[in-house]
Amino acid sequence: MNIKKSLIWFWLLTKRLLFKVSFVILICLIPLLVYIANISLQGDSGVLKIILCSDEGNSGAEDVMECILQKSSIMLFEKSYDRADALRSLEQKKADAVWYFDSDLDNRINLYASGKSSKPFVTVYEREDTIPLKLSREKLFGAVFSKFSYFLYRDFAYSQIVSPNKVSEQGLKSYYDNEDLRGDLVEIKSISSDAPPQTQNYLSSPLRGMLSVLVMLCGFAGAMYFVKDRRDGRFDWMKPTKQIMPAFAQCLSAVTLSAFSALAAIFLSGIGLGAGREILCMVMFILACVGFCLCFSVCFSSSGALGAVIPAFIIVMMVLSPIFFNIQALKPLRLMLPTHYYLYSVHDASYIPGFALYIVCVYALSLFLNSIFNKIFAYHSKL
Amino acid sequence: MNKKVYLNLEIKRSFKHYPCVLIITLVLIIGIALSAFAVLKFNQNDGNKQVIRVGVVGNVGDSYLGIGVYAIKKMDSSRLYVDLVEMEEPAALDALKNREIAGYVYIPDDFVKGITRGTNIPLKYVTGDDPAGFGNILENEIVMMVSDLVTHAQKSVYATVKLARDNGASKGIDKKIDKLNLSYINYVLNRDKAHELVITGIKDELTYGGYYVCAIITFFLMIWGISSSSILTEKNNELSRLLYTRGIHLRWQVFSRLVSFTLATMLTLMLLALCFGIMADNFDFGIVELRATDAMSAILFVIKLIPVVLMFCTMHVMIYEIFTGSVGSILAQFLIAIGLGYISGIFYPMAFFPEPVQIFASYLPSGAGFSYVRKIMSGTGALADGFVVMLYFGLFYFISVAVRTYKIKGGKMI
Repeated sequence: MNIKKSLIWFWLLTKRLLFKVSFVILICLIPLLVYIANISLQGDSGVLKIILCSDEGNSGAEDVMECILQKSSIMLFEKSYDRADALRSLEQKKADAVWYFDSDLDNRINLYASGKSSKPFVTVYEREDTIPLKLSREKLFGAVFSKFSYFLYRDFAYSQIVSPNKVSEQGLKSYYDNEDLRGDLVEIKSISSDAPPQTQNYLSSPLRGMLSVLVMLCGFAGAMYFVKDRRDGRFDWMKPTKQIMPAFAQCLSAVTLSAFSALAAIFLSGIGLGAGREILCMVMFILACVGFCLCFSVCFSSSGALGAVIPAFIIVMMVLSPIFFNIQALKPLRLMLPTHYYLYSVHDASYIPGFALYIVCVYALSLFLNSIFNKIFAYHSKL
Repeated sequence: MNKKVYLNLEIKRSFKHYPCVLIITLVLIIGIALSAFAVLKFNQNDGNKQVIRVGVVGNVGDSYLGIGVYAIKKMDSSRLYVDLVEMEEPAALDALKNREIAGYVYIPDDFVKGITRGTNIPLKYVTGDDPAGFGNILENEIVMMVSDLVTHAQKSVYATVKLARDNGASKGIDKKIDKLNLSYINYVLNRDKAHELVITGIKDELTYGGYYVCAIITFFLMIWGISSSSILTEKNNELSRLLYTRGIHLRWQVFSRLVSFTLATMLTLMLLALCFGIMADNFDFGIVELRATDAMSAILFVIKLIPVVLMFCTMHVMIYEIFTGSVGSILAQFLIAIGLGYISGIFYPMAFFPEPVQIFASYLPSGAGFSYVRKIMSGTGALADGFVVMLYFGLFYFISVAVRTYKIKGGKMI
């Protein structure tokens, strides 16, 4: 490909796109919409909504509920003193689970800790038992454990170490409370640095992925434009093998304009990870998208057929790229998608060489497909 | 020209482009469905029910640690959803980069000594920088909970030792502490016995599997307009203007376009339902709501979806009336589909969102449409949602006619 000619094509086709008022309005709307979405998603939210329920005046349950409510969590907890009402919320899908603490909880935990009773002291109501709900119960266990630990210690101390006449319960508790352990037992670190991983609002984390699909979609739309123009005979004066140049320019102009908009949206919504890394990855993503769409623009002779492919690709990208979920299946298919490389490279620089290799491969493939399909189209036109 | 003739011509025009759109859509969707099915089957045959794999790096040969890891792997209730894998650090790093494990725990050499001295030398839990999802945040919360747990047990053990020392009861304390530790371990391993689990059942709601089947159907309907750009795009307004002067009113022109596009959409859905019904009849997808599905019930389900199909088809017609040019209209469709779909609970369940967003989303076309599809699947009354859906259908039709009128009478659209 002649770079200079491609750039002239790029400039001309970009001007053509910029004259389309609808396109310009939509491109300008993207950062604004993402900004508004990001603000509206800042409210109280959680992946699970759990109602903590007990009868009024149950001081032990109050302590446990406060312990759970005080810690910030991805789960949303709510207090209730009406079991029937809480269960109604569960039935109406307004909550995912209800944790009902038995009356006189302290005494029940005490009996359980001393081995005098093996009856459960919390009733967990769920509609269906999912993995997040199983994990949430570990949190319940953690909250109850602080009480259990003390009761077990008290019972053990009185039965094995000292008599209650020698050390009062107050004294026993002060031994327990005065134990000041130095240092956390677990440090959470990220794979790419020694710092803990950046915690982001889980609702705004898919915004980047959605924007990347949008950029990709603009590339497809550019490819559709090219296929339509070629069908209308706008490039008939060029040698068929050279027509890849306007195809490249058409995809590049659509992708670049939308990528600018996406980048602005990323910074406006506060999910940016540093200008240098963002710009580098976005430039690579632009190249990858253009190469990917180029493969399609040389293979299809009808814009309608190309348009029909787009929704299926959107669904594949949404499911297999790490946008909403991290699905580890269908690795070969995942490795074909530019969104996969972009989303990982932004978070982990070690993916960048692989991304560069992908770009080289995708351009080589587009040139190969261009020569093959030109022969096929020429053969068909002779027939 | 007669109105009926125009309607017939419009249907023929749509179906001229339709086979190509249909074949590609069918091939791709069946391909995706088969791949998804293959993945499901592969996971079932694997016998690997754990969903979270966590690496363990470091010297676990130490008696306490070895027993601990063994207990978690073989005796703890978490073994059903957490798989601990012992590995070397480079292998763990590679596995983490390839997302084969969710994270790994690095156990420093003098970790146990630190615990016994009361100066914690922390374990390192290394996690990936995953761009997506809430899984990591949830895992990190659980890891910190485990840290709290051990700290409480340590407090108890050290307090007991101190109490014994201060009160002259240090004789045989080591054995007593072992007994105390065993009580803790026993409690941790049997922690499921501390609560009673009551599964109330799904009743008139859907399982997560059923929910996501409805989400895919709704999202497909929302982006279907992109596939059909060749059916819906018009080169210019000249033909429409000419027809208008020959007595085909603009309302009828839009109506005919809508009828032809809806017929094409319904036909596509019917064919997809037929394929899917045959597959569901022969294979178990592991989704409760699909267990009794066969080709007939799948087609009946599609028929019940007519109000939603009408609404989304009218929405696509409206978008193509407003936006001229394929780039603009495709971009608009995608923005509308992904924006509305996201806050309407198509990707993450509705319950994940703040309450004001949930209320707002339920009145959006996507929210009402999605709710209607869910209620049809769960077999509960969808009348209220059906009413909102039909209101939107009327509104979109009115806007489409208004826009076309504006264009024909000399105005220019964006």
